[in-house]
Amino acid sequence: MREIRLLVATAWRADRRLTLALIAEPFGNTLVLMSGLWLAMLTNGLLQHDTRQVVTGVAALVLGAGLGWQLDLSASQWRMVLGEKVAHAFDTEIARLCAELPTLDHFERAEHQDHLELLRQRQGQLGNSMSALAVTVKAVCAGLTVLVLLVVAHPAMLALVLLALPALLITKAQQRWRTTAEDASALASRTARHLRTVAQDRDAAVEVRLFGLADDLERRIGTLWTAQRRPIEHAERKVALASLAQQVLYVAGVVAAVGFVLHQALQGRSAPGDVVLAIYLSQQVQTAVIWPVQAVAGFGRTLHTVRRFRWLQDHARSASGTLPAPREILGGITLENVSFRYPGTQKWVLRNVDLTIPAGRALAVVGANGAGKTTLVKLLTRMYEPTEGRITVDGVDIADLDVHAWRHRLAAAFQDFARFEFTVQHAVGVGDLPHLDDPAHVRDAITRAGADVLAQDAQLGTAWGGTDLSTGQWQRLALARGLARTTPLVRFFDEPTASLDAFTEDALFDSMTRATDCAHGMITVLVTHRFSTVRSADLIVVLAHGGVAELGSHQELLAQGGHYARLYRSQADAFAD
Amino acid sequence: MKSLLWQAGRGRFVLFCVLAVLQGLAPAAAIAASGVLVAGLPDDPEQATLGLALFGAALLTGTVLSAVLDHEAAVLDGGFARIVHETVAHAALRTDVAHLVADRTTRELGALAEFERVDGFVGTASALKELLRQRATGTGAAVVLATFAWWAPIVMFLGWRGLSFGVRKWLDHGMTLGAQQGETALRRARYLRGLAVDSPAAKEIRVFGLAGWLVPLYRDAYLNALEVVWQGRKLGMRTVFAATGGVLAAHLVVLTAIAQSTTSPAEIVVYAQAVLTTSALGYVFGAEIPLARARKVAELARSIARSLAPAPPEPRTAADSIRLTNVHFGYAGTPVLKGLDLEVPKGQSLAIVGENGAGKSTLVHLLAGIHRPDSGEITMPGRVSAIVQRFTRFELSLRDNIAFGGEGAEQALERAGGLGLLEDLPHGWATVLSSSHPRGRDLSGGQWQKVALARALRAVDAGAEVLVMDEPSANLDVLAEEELFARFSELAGETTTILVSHRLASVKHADRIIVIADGRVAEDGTHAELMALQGKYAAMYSVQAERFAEAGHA
Repeated sequence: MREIRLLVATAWRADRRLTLALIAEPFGNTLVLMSGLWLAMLTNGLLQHDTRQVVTGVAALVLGAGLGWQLDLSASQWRMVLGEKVAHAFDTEIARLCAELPTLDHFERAEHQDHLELLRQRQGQLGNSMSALAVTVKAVCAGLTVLVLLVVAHPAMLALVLLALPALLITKAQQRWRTTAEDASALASRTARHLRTVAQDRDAAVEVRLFGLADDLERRIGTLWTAQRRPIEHAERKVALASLAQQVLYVAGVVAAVGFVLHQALQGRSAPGDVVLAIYLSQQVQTAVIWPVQAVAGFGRTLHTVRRFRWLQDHARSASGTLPAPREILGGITLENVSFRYPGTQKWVLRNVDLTIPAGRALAVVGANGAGKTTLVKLLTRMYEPTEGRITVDGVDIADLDVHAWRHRLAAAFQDFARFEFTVQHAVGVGDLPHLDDPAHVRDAITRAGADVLAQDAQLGTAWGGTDLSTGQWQRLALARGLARTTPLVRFFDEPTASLDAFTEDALFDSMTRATDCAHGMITVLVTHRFSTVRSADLIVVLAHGGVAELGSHQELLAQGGHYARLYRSQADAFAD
Repeated sequence: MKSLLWQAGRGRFVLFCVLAVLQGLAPAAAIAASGVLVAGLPDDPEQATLGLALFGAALLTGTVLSAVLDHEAAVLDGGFARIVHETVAHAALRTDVAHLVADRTTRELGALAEFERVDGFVGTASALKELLRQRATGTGAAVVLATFAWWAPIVMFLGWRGLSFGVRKWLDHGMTLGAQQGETALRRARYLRGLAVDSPAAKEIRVFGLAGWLVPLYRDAYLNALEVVWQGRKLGMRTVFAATGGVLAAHLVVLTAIAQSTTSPAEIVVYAQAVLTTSALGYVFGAEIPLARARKVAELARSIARSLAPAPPEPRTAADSIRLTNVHFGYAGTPVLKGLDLEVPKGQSLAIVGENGAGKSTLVHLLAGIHRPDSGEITMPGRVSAIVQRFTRFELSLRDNIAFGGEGAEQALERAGGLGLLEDLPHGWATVLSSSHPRGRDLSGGQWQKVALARALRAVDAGAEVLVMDEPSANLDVLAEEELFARFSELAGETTTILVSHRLASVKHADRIIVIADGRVAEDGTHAELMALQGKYAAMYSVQAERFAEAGHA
């Protein structure tokens, strides 16, 4: 019931007039269903030479046909428009929920991906849900009309309804088979879609051609498609067989019912018109009794999708503290015995990490690939919550802070940065939304990042008539975005210079160190492989095997002669002639 | 569209159509049988019983056919969608990259994606079945009606076709508007939605709190696009109202004639039912809309396949060196390379350096044969392998990500220094490299880079003469980088290697270094020569070296 309320409420918000029209439509439709009655009236009128009955019968038949058509047509137009509006309303909501999910869990967990994939596939169904509801109401009204007419023909014909009852059970089973099949094909469907996207992707095109992958990818796309369809076709076969059994039973009932009224008429106990009505009805009953059942079942499928949607709603609502973010950091950020492993996996990425980053300092994080450096950033930005332990800022667990308020006081540039195909102004301005349209503010960030690649009002992305940038240029814009907020509590640089040339990199290190001089006790966290950058940090942490291997300043670590010193010397030696 | 269904399974498709027509005739048979039945009233039980038996047989046939057809439709539906996907993928995988990024292709792929989003291309055969069934039913009814008067079915037919014409015009109008919007405004809306929902931008969306800004942007872009369609549909509705009048008139004429000229109830029953059943000759909503969409989809798929002509085979030159002569290249009128000359003898290791945006990656794409020069000439000594900057993260197993169903994944990964990442993978070589897969696991940036490197090294093992590496160590840690360049120098001698990198400490060991600036080769020589030149290279090198030098003194 909550699902139906959600549907109607969404439709109502999308377009009130159309929602009302669709709710009213089934009642208009009953007139069309009464054709059998008019047909009987016409027959009896002719037999009894009663002109009035004949004229009424013909007139009603004509009107019914015309009106039925116009109504069908208008209603389908209403359904289409309302369908598009409702689909879009749901879609916007899905997009909003996905974008607002506080963590990145849903990108990592297969079962969540399955849910989202099915939601994506069934979006059209959500759009048509309002018309599915209307069709259900219409079908039920039609069914009731036919029931009344059955009583008019002969009350005993009501027995036909009993034969429709097995259909209820069977439709329910059929619905279950279809859902199971859908779930079973979700994974293949997702992978197939990924590969089809790859086939059209301009970046992937390079490797596809260099390595001659066309045949292999095409074969995989075909195989996955078959794998995706197999459970569905199997389910459809079962569905068809079950329907057949039930319908054969039903047809037998229809023949018996018509036979019964015929017998009555032959005995003179019924008017010939009743036989006509019975014949006409018997064919309608077939649809009019099963239709509501199927419509309800079909609507059940829609409700299933709505339930998936509600799962997303609940999922988005879950968790997150309520405390406001601190105005400044006085003491520092402390990781207390923090351990983390990705949801659904066994391997610890970080294990029992204890670490304090003092306020106003710059921390450099180094370590081999896969040592957990990026994970540390993800935990501090609350893309994930620690599996064990806690992270505190001035003694307050960051999990107790409102996640949006906390992030509002962060800034970041990531190695896998986004390519926002907006104007340069907006591509950088999104880094500080309140100043999105403030040219001077954005100019400042661009200058500090050395991202002066294009005019600020230039459009990015060839698809929109703009310019495409090289990887290094995109990275500079990402950096500018990371520098756009002027008073964050923590600023993250996750491999910020991987694709930058020597001059830009050099200029950038200075601006990163300068940024650290800010008030508010701002902390800079720098993840990098380049030891020339690391040296200028106040504190360096070397991660290895998910834990803190070494910790100290550049000088201290060099003096220790450990892992860090070895790595640093090897890079420095590379420059020594 | 029919030809695509035909491709999906010939025999199956023919049988399917025949059965659909037969199923459609079942109601007409039932009407005729009911005539036989009523003719037996009020006092011919034998005739009535025969009618009843025929009536039952007609219904039963319809029922059985319906079940068979439902199943067949599901199979054919899958076949149709498969052919659409395969047609597009086949063409996209083999065409010139220039075609793939052409405006028209982007637009058509966008329109196709919009259709796919609604119904996933399935539903075509079910719709066709419904249409055939209805048409057969209508034809059957028309034949029955013709026994009353030859002109009666014609009048009904004209009435319904008039209406059908009106409706079709109205819908086509809406559909054309929809397709136009799909190609332009909706594409932007989809892009915005992708930003909000998909993973590449997910972290920044969250840190910068962009959901509340981005989603309304998407909503408005979409609604603005559809508003045009809705307005257009409303206008077209007038033709339909006029046509409905025609249908009413046809009913009135034929029904009145029947009421006036027949006397037996059997005839009334049969003829009046037949008149009502001719509606099956009109516009069949459940079928014609999906079919119109399917036609459009088939048209798009074919048009895409046509414009994505297969790339011509590379001219195989037996040159023993890489030679670029006066090469010009630009994107959309902006020149990037302006008369570049370069010769690389076989077996040399060459490093290319330059500032961001100088055209290094463009040069890599030209060497790899992905782009063709606007003017000038390029000859290559043989096949090229490359590790590109924006390599693809296939949601496939580790083994397939390197060897794509072929051999040699192990050696390649070992040479790329990536065997260690197997420790992280729960199912070893079979682990799917995607966290959204139940048996999968995503890799870190550096781990992915090793996979991409292994991919390129495997192609070298398979006989590529030239190995191009565009920033192969951007995400690698120090040790991995050192290992990489050690292996890189092992390759020198047999394979021509070209390295693009900003890490000048690794570049300096190359046989030869060139600096690209202003679309040409600005400096050319060994590390020592370029340092002595005191030019751009020397300046870049010093900037990086100083950072370590300072540390040494501190």
